[in-house]
Amino acid sequence: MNDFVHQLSFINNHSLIMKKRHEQKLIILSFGLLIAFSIPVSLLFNSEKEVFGYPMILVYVFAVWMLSIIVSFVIIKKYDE
Amino acid sequence: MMSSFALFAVVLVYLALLFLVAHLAEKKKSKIWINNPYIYALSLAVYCTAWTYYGSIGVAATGGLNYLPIYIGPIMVIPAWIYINTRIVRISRVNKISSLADFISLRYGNSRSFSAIITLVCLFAIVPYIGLQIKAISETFHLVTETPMSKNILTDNATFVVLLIAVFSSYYGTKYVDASEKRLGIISAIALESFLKLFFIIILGLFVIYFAFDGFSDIYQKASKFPDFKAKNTFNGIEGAMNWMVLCMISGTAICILPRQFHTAIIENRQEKHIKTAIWFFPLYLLIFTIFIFPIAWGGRLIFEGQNVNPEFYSILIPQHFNNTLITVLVFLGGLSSSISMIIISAITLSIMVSNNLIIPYGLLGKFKAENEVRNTRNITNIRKFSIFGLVILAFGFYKYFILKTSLDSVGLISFVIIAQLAPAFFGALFWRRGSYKGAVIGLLAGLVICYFGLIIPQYYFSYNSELKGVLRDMYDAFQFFDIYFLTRIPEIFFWSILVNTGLFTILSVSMKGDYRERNFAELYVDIDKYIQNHENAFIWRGTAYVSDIKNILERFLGKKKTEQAMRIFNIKYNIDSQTETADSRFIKFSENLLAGRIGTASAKILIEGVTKEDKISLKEVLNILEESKENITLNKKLIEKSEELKQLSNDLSSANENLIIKDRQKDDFLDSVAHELRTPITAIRSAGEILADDDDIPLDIKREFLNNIITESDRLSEIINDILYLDKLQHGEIALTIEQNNIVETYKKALNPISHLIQQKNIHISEVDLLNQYIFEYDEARMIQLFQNILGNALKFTDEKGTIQTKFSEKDDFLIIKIFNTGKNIPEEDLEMIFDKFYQSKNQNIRKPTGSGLGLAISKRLVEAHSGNIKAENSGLGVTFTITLPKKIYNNEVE
Amino acid sequence: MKKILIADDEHKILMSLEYSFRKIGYEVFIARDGTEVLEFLKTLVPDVILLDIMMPNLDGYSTLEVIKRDRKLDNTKVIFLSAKNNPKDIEKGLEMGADAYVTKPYSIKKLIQQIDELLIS
Repeated sequence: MNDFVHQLSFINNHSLIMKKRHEQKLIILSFGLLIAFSIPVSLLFNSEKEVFGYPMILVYVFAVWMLSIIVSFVIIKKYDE
Repeated sequence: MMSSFALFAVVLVYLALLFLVAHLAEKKKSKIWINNPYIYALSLAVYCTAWTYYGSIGVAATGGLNYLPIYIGPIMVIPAWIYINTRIVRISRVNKISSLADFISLRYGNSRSFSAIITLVCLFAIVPYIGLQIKAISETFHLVTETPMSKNILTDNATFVVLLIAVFSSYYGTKYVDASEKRLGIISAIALESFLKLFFIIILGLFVIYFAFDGFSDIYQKASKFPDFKAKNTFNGIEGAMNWMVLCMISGTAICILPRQFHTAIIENRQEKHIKTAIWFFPLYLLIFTIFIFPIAWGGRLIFEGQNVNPEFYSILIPQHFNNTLITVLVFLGGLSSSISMIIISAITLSIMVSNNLIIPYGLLGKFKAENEVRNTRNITNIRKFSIFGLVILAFGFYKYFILKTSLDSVGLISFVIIAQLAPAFFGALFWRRGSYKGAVIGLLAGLVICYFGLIIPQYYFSYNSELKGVLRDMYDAFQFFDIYFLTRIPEIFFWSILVNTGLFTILSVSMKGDYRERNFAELYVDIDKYIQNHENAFIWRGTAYVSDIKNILERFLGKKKTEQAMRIFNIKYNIDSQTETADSRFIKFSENLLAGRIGTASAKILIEGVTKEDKISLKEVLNILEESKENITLNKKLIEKSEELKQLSNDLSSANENLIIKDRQKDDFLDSVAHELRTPITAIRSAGEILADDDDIPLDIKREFLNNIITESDRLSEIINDILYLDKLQHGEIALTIEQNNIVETYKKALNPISHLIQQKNIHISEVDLLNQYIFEYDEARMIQLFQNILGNALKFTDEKGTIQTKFSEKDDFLIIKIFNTGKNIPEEDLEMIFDKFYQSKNQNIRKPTGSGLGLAISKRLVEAHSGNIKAENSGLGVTFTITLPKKIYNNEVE
Repeated sequence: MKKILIADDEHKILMSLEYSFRKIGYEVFIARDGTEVLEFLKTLVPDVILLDIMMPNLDGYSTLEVIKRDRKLDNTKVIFLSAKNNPKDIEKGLEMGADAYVTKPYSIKKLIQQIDELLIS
């Protein structure tokens, strides 16, 4: 019984590698990306106009991509346990 | 250019390098290697195959933005891996899952047939994809050597390359039979390949941008002159965007479910925290890869304008055009790396699935039951080796005879869509308790049917340029109704197949109850975090089983030593006597797990079933048990919390008790000193009184003196008694402070007033130093006056004639600091704190016992502490300084 | 004339004792703490020593210890005069070799009587 109880003390709601509330930040990032690349938003950038001399949509896609990498990096490094 | 022979030699060297890396990694197993999260993250890049190297460039040059979704899909999903993949990894670790098929079929009741179906689906989807890689290797080989493709397989160099790859995979891939042993050698080689392919494409990209052209903007400007440039770099209206989005969803699913991804991300995962690194590293890797696609694609368009060149191979053709042999070969090697990684990993994981779910359970179990461990292990390894070899050959055949004419792009996507049919069951396994076996299977089959008719058949006809005839034609016409006009064929079929698949899965799962075994696993999967420490306990099984029978089976696969070791650990974990003869549910689960590591969950279950007799349990009963165990877990959690609380309480109690005892003793000591202090003046009074009463002819001046003594000592007595009572009240919170805003300097002056004449009498020079920025502070004025008078009175007693008393007011941060200094004898070091004790009298002081109650400083200390401040005494040169520190903001509460 | 050495750190108590013993014909010597007592004892051999216990610098107990070691003072009667009156303290004082232990507050008359009895024996 002691053993059982002892093991149970490890059971908690926290993910073993990152606290749940920080995990949620990454999940939100996922959803954010989903929205960023979904129909209404992506069409917003679907114009023939050029930004910095490059097709807007390409700039948009790569900018969002780069941003998401930075955000996940920051979240992970910051809440590293 | 390069001769066939030379290139072949290069390939050999390259493969030798891979062998070497795998070998060293296996041999050394150094800590840096094993625990390196970057190896893990790089191995995930097996996702980038020849399609990335060649196919995507082809799409970028001709098909617009559709080369992007293959990568965008994954980067949308990857951040969520922190949640999804960690749970999958845990479930897999705990249940010794060795393949994707195991993972899914275990959840739905560990059915042999389901795992077989899943294996077939994977074979169906992946073997053609392996063929694609072989196609790429072969075609690029011929491109680089500028030789035509040989009709004869045996003289085709590519064939030999493929054979070598097959041998490499079957050797290193089957070194470890158990799912829990990680294939460090292979994974290291894959990681190296991921690195090299990225490196080489960077070189190519830079070559195209800065050598073939004058920078990125140069390419852009020239390319923008193409009439179709604008069209290719924007979405083609809503339709284009919708297709794009669906393609993203397809690839987003693929990144999780593709057998090679599942294998590298889950099965070969060594530490959960590596997932964290992968989450940012892998998208970064993909980003770098993708950035160069645009310049290479459009650079190729520009260079080969007007020529009928296959844009898929721009990567090879461009450096070749500039006669740069080195880069051409490097690109070839990059493509080779991409292809080889994919082939190796896919072949390994498929072979595991084939051996565990097709071959062993459907024929060889009987044989295994009778053999010993060494034999069995060897047999399993051989089965896998042959599977790998066979699969590669099969893929080769497929390539040669089926997909010569098809583009890399569509075969890849079709492969993704087929694999995606596993998605509803896969994700349902993780998140939905009610997902049932029947729902999963029927949904899967329905989805596959739609894929078959929607993708495979048309592709077949398309490749052979035939027309649909007869029954098929009628069928297709009938389904015209379901045509979504704005989606191209592949996204459309994806949409319908997943819709029907998921729909049937959910509807059937809610309308039919699953059996108890499914429900049990559903709990284990969905609540993995809860059960992770003792998942054996969560497994519900009733029946008769004997430890010896099961042990027998275990020994046949793990060997005697390992079995004993495992059983010992099990017995210790659950506190079970090693002499126990009957096996309970925990042991059943435990044994199934051990076996599953070797031969897969389906076969493991069958073997154990063979030596046990399970009683039927109703679903209702199982649900009850699960509810109970859940309650138990929460109850236990509460118990633990309670017992922690109790422990804390009992600790508090015993320290309180100790405190009481000490306080009691202190009280006794205090009473003793009080009595002592009181007796002294009483003695003086009594003696004087006795003399006055008995002596008639006492001289007048002495008489007067004695009478005075009586009066002063009575006063002193009274003072002592008052002070004792006052101190007691202070200590018991019976004196409430009235904290108000007051001017500290004025208060000080008020305190000084009554004793200033005494100070003057002794010719003491008194002064103040004012360093304050503000004068208004919060305190109880009456008490402060008392405090000042105590300290000043003390100073007065100890200052010699013509001495100095100086008071300094200053501030520091949030505190008011008052220092009262007087010249006079120093206080012995050891007494500096004790002078604030009640009735303190130093043993060593050279100071005569002062007049007064002896409680003055004790009272002062209490007063200061009541203001949340502190007071201390220190020797400063020629005298003593009392420092009173008070916080500017007092959070008013009663004197404690 | 009999010699009495009185040690106490309270001035007013000393005053009363000094007056009373002078009145009955003692030669009185005053000490304020143990060190002063020992200083006197270098040259003086009193008949009686009245010793307070709680004194600064050197307390009554330590002083008694020194007195006991001095052979010259074998005939000197030492009496503890103390506010410490719990039985343990009294026992301790007597065990240390004091000839009597008188608790404060005391009656001067009784004290004188006690000393007389001691001196006779």
